[in-house]
Amino acid sequence: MSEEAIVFNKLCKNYGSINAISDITFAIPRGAVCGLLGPNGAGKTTTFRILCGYLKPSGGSVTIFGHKPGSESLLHGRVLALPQDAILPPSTTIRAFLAYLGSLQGLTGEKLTAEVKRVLNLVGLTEAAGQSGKSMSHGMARRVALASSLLGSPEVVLLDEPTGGLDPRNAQAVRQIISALAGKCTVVIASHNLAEIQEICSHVAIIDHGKLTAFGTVSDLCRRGEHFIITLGKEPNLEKLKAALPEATLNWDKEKCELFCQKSGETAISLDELTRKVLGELIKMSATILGLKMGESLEKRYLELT
Amino acid sequence: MFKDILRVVKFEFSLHLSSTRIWLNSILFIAIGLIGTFVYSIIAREVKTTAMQVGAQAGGVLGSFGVATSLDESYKSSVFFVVKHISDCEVLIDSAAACTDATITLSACDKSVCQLYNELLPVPPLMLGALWFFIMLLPFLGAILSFDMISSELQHRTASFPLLRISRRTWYIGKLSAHTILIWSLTLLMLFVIIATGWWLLPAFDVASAVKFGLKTMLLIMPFTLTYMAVIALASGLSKSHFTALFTCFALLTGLWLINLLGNAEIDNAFGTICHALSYLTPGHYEKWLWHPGISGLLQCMGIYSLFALAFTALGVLLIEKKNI
Repeated sequence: MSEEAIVFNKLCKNYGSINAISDITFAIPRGAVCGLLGPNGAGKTTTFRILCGYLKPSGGSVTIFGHKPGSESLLHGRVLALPQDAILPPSTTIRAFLAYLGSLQGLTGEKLTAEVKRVLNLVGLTEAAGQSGKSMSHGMARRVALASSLLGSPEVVLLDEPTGGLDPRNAQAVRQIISALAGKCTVVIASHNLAEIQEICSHVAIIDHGKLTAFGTVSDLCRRGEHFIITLGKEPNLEKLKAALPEATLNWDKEKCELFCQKSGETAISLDELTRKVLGELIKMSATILGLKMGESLEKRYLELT
Repeated sequence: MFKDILRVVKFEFSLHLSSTRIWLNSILFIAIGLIGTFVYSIIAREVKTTAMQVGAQAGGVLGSFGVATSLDESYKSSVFFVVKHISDCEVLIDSAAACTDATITLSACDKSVCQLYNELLPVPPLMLGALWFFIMLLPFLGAILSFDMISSELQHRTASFPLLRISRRTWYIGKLSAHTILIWSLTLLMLFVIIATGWWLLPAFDVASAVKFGLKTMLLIMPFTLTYMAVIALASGLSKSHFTALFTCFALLTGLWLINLLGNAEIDNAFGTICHALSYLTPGHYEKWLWHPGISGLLQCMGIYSLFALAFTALGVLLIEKKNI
């Protein structure tokens, strides 16, 4: 069994003379939660829709478990998605709608009923199960769509802006649901919410002007293994600190009140050990520690890369 | 695949039954049946009453009897004229009397005309009118009800949900089947209204003949409806907006109708020849087959319309499978 769930190989999509995406090549491992990032019009939604099988690529290919999305029945029910702008049928109850979708996945009888109950409970809509699509708010409709993407046992879940339009409490609940999927199935999330992607994703792909500008684990992309930043209440005695920590290279950012730390060239000490040492010295100096960031924020890296 | 088609059909029905549109359409179909039959009964009664009065004034009871007989004869002549007119072959006999005249040798074509004449004569004229009405208007009623069967799902991206679970082909056929059964059911409802109203309003209405012919009509209408619903689904799948879908539906139906009309008109130029050749590819060209007599006629007609339905459905499936949605 291949370790890669989704493989993009020189994927291109043109709309007339406009190249929406071109030459996208990367592979998402099984069980990964991968964020798909990019500015508006970068090609995220096009990539997402090709993955769902709604759009046909103009060139190259994308395969999920070795099969082309949209054309092969082997993927039906194994790849589910939360489309960004799909409208629910207006005149049917969400329970009936989810039961219909579940039945198309081969679920029947009590198993189907239990599954519909489970996903409705998961998105906090148990009590709204009898409501019809037209009587739902945008947020509720998004949660129904999310519930539909969790029906059965999908192996790949594609989520386009999963927390878009949700209030903070529901957004947090959705993030928890996604985090719980990690390792069990492969998840792809197209989003603009960088903090959210950093929180829940193991991998990130950044697309800009239709091209892949970066792909890797969140740790690698944010250089988490290279340096850390400590936010302090006021400037420490930097000379004293440098003298106590010869294995560290330290720089003070006056404007942000941040202490940038990384290993000196030849030292064999690990970054975790160095972090403990620096924090220990700062505590000894009675410095006010306001925060610790391993590597850079995804936002900073994103702005550098796009 | 078949099970999934049934699931789509079932879900489509539940959607339709909970929408106001289907109820408005049911009312429309019932109203057309009621009003049509009512108007027909008034005209039939008035014509007969006036003729009988004229007859009575001219010749008393004998005069009335004479008028009644002449009305019967004139109806027989009308039926024979229509049957002769819709025949595909060369008819040699010129009156219905030839059908019963043992001294005349009938050709195969004449025999088929006489068979149809004998089949249609006992059928209440109202029922013949109903079949003619279905042939003429069913495609357009279908278009009004179902022009957005595919386009609406594409426009609102509601199709995104089922299409992750089943193939586009299954989904398309499921939707087409559901809409066809719906239109067919509404036609059945209209036919029921026509028979019931005819029985109530027309004194000489033969219910047994009407029901027998009604059953044949419903069998004939089944592939006929499927054919036109396949055309409507094809047009609906070409677009993602309601207005364009409606326009495309009517344009396609009118186009098919025009090709058939021009193909049957005797135009002596290259355009006429092309239209004539193309008319064989339009379902309208085979409408006369709906009037073919006997079981073999019924089967022939069902066969040709089933082929058309299959061809239009295949084309629709091909287009939807290639489409970016």
